[in-house]
Amino acid sequence: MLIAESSLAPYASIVIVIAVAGVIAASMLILAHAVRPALKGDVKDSTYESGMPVIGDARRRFNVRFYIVAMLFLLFDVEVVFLWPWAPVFHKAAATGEAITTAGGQPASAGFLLAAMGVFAVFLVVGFAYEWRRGMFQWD
Amino acid sequence: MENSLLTLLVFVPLIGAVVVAVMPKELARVVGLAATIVTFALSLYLIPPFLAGGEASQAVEVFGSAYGEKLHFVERLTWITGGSFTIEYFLGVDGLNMPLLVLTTLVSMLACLASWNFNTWKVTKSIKGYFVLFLLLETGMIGTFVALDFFLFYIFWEVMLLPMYFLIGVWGGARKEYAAIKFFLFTLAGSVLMLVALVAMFFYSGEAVSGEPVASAYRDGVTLTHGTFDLIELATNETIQDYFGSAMFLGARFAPVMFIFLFVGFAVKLPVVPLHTWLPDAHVEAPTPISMILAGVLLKMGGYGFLRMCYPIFPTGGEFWAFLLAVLGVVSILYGALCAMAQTDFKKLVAYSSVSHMGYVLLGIAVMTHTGFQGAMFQMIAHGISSPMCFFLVGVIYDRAHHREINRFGGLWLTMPKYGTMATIGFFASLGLPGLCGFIGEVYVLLGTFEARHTFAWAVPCAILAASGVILTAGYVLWLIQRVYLGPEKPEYAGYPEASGREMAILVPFAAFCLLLGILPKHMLFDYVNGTLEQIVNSVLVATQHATTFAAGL
Amino acid sequence: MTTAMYLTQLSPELCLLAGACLVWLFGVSKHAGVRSLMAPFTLLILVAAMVCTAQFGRPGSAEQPVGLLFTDLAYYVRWATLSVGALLLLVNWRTPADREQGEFFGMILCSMAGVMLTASANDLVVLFFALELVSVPTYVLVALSRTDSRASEAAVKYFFLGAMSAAIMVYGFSFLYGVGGTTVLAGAAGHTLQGYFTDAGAMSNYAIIGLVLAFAGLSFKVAAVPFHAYVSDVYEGAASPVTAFLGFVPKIAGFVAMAKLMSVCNWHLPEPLVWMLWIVAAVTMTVGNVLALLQTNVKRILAYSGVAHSGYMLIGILVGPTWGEGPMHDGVAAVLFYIVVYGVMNLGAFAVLATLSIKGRSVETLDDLAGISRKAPLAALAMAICTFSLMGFPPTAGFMGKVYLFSGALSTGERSLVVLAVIAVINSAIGAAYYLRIVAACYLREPTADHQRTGGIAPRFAIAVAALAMIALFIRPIDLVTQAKHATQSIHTQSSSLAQSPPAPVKTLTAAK
Repeated sequence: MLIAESSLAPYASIVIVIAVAGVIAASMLILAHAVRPALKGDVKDSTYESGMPVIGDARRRFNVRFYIVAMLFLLFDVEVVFLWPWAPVFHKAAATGEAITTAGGQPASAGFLLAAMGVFAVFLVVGFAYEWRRGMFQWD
Repeated sequence: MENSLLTLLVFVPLIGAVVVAVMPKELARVVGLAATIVTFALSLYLIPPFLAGGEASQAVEVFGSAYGEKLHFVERLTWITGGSFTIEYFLGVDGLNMPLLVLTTLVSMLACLASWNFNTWKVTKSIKGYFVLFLLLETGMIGTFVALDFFLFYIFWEVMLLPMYFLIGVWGGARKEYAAIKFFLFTLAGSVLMLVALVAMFFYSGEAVSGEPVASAYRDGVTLTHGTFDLIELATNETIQDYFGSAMFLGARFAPVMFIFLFVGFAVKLPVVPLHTWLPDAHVEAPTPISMILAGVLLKMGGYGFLRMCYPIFPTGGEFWAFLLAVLGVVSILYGALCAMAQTDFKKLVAYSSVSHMGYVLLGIAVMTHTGFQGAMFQMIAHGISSPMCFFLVGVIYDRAHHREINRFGGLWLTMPKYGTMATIGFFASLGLPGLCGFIGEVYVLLGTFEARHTFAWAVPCAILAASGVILTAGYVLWLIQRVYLGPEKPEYAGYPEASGREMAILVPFAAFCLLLGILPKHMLFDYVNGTLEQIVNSVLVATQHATTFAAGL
Repeated sequence: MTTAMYLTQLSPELCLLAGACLVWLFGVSKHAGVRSLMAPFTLLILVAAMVCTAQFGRPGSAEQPVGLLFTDLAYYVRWATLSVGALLLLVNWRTPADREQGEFFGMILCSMAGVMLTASANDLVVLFFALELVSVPTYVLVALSRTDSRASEAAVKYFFLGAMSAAIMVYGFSFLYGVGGTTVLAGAAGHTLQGYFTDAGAMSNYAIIGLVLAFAGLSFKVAAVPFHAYVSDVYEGAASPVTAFLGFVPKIAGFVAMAKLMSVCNWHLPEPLVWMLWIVAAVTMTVGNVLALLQTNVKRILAYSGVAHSGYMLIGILVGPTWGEGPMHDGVAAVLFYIVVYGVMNLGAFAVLATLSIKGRSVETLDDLAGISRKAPLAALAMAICTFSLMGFPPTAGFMGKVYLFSGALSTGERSLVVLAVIAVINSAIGAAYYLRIVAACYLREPTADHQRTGGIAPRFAIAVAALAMIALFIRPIDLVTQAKHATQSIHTQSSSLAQSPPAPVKTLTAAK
């Protein structure tokens, strides 16, 4: 096949996933539309068909604390992502006892890698201490 | 002393300024006057070396055969250096700047004396600041005249603007802010093109000496040989001169472009119509002593720049623009005179008469004859004596009447006979009455213009028009004298006191110089300047003739 | 490369960043006494960084760490940042509110570390990171500088436009990575972008797009047209001491990054790009001056004057460095000299505004300045010196800076650059008009309001140093110029290690004529 020979071959699977996702979503909508009974009326058009009254617009203001919590989540949760690639590299270096070669072509020993993550952790702790002291973790 | 006289001259006022700044304010004017007197006395030491010359031809020999070979009191030190870039502290005096220096110190001294009644001015704030700036201004003016390194000259030229700006702007009249800013902006706008010329001349002279075009050296990564800011070297080094004559700048010939860049800067100062509009405003708003300095010294810097830079360094440029310059000169003469005639403000009239008189300087230089140059030089000195005197005469009456409306005056001669006599001498000198200083300069310029009729076809019409300027001058001066000094005594001025001793001490030296210059022009001026002027004219003529034959050969 | 070497070479930057962490922590202390010590503590950190620079910062033959290249350029920029930064710190001594001491000074330290990293960055990623480290703290500084809504508005504007410019720039970097296949800028070994541009001969269209976008992003940092629109509002909105900071720190980073990008392509840009920069330079200086003429708020005047000054400095970037001894022929050395001079004189002018107030509000408009020569003669004198220096008027360093910049352009003999220099001198004459209005307000007008002095001794000391430096650098500019010259020569050595032929800037322009 043409795709198999071209350089785009590795991307074929992604295209297939997108296509399947599209087909499934479209078929669900179409099926639901075709199968369900068509009823109209005030109750049917209300937001919550179960009868719960609507208390306001969806675009209402939230307490600013929500945003702060969201940011704190980003800071502390996403930072964990950085630990992941570091862990296997450090494991390799520590297990073999040999310096591994970084992308820049320079050797990095296990100690160096540990120190690097230490610096990263210090920054996290500093940030944590700062936020604690500033009262970011208090709701009121 | 011989070796560091010029440095002393430049820095004595500066030291005076520092002393004024630290002394109590009661002593400010005493210290200021003392500093200007010392400077004046020092400047008299400049004269002896020039006394040896007798006849003009002898003077040339005394000065050596070429321009710049006979400089006196030369001081040369390296100031800023780095690689191929050297700025020197290079001072020297020749026939061109010596008379202007003495004029500067004289006018400064008398203007300082004119500031003596500071406490009676309308604006009396900070007497110390006034005298500090006054002395700084004197340093700037002297520095501009003695600097022979273009970069140093440029710095003095610009620095001089600062004290002048504040002197007009702080101690001036009703529209002082407008006048000060206008003065500053006009001069600065003129001098930025001079900055381009300054740097371009530096690189082109380096190019001339190394024989390597700048652009190609730049592309090939070659170190350039030294260029120079030395004004004498630029004018006399034949390699540089030849190269300046033939090089191109932005697709045009180098010499005419650079000439006009420099010309604009000097023309604002001179001032040449249409770049003169700052002058009436500045004069009207400035206090009397500052007007004296402005008219007596600052305007001369324009003419000095032409004679020191434009013509010796770019003679072919002078030839190229001769017609335009002469026309501008004639327009200045006539337009200035007509404007002066229309004024009702006493000070503005004197200001416009300055425009008219400096037009003669431009015309005399533009025709490039020996007589024309002599006339221009003489006119500068003569105007440097007569116009400060006229401004002071206005100041004296303003101090008493507190207005300057010409039509409200009358019969002042009867009220103040001594003052009236002085006023007549001053205004007649300005008019160009034979026997007084204004006459010689104008006649020489007109003669020089006629002399150029073989070179330039337009010389005769220009001379005729310029001569008619003399009649206009007579018109407004006589009319002025009639309105202000003649006629019946007016009751509102009846009680005015006669000119005081201090005022006479200022007016009498001016009047004496008016007479001396008018009666003994040779001994008072020409003996000193002819040698240098002749060298400049000769080099200009040689260069332009060379240029003509070169063009014919092509 | 051992870890120890790595750390010593980076010690000035590490010093600043570690210091920033400490300042942040101590800044939230419960004790007011500790909080009030943050400014002196920050000064101590700057001094420590200076000691580190003097001790370890000299470029040697030592092995270079990944992504960084410690050259004379980095050495110069480190000293420039730390010394001008110390003055800026003095000006900002009392700017932050009591409870925001830590945040404020920590941000200042981070921003300075970013400038220093920009100068030694040798990798597109590091360069981008360093530039963001410069910018992000400045957004915070603007917001923290005062409590009124104008500062918040300014900060938000600055942040969004800055984020956009960063996106543009990093998009450009991605193109450069795409064509070159590497993010390493230059170096003797391995595959580098500079090597790519040297070998490639003609530049590909993608590389041109990349450079255009990168320069567009950097234009925001230096406030060049068409990315200048934010300056007036941001400068006006922020407190004057912070504005002084904004006038120097992002600008030096932007110009150093521009010089780096130019050296990566061996100062041999394709013709359209050269013309683009030419037009940007000409328009920037003209637009800056003309808009400044129309203002009555001194901070806005100085903001637009800063735009004009960026235009002048772009000339130096266009001229590029040349091989030669003299400082007169070197555009980049002129820029490096000028940016320091500009930083100091700009700082002096804003600091004067910061130290005077009328009825509790700081002095901002020309009318506010009226007659301060009566009330505060020394402040007025310093304002006059700094203003005349901005005007490029002797006897001040601004004049020497302009002479170096313009003579660099004239020395090339290239017609387009000579024309640009002529446009620049005409512009500097236009500029004189609004600078004179500032001086006129200080000296020629009568006082209309009752001025109080604010800010304490530290800003006044900084003002005095700035004014004296302007005079001193006029009398003796050569030491600083020589250092700047060394810095550009290090760019050269960097270039010439790979480029066989000497750089041939704007050659194409001559061919076009």
